[in-house]
Amino acid sequence: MVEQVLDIAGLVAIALGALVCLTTALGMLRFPDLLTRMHAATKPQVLGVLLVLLGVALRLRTDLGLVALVALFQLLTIPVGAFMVARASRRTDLPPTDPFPPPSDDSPSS
Amino acid sequence: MSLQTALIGGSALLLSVAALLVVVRLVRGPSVLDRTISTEVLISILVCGLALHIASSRSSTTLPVLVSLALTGFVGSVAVARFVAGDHDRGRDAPEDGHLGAAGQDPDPEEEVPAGPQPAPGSPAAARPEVPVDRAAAVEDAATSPDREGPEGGGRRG
Repeated sequence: MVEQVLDIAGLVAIALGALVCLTTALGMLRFPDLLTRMHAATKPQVLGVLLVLLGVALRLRTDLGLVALVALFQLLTIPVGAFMVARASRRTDLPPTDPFPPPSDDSPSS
Repeated sequence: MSLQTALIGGSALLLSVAALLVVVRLVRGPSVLDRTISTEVLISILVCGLALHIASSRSSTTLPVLVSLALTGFVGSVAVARFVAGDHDRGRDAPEDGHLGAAGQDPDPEEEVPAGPQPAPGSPAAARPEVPVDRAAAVEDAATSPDREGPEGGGRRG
């Protein structure tokens, strides 16, 4: 009984992580700027992967050290890459978009 | 059992759609940095997919693959980011109208590419940035990373 509950809880956590990944993909597709896309891109790399790894740990119930190692490496290496990409975008002259543009005709008003 | 299969199938479907949308951004992204963060997100989705496979099959044979992916996934983005920044630093000495491809942005097909000092990406001049800019980057690196304070800092700590 307890094992079945743990299995279902792990699968629900994995489904939530997959939902976070899908939300991120929508943000990557819709956002107008590099920095806003980076804002969207950090979600699956931290929250999504951690939720999925929590689900794996709940369902596997062995080899928990390796799962924790994956989470640790992900948390350690993701900020390095994000920092380098953000610094490169600042050093190059990418035209920044206005974060609060004036309301135009094509803005979704309905 | 059917609930578990439905959850696994639904998660696989969500991850597939997410990967497809990220690939669309990877193809359309106007600059190299957009494509870089798209590949990073794609690696994260791949990690999620492998973890889903582990959870569905209950076999931990793929876990070392996950460890290595999480450990080396950032190397490509760091390399591309450094290359793009060095590319622009070389272009700072260029004339004002010479647009040297900021952030590796795709050139406008209607706009004539200026015949300025723009070597091919594979040439050694593109791989080696100017010396003062590189020194400034090293100073900034030392200022922003707490682990590289120099030998005297380590000696004080040890």
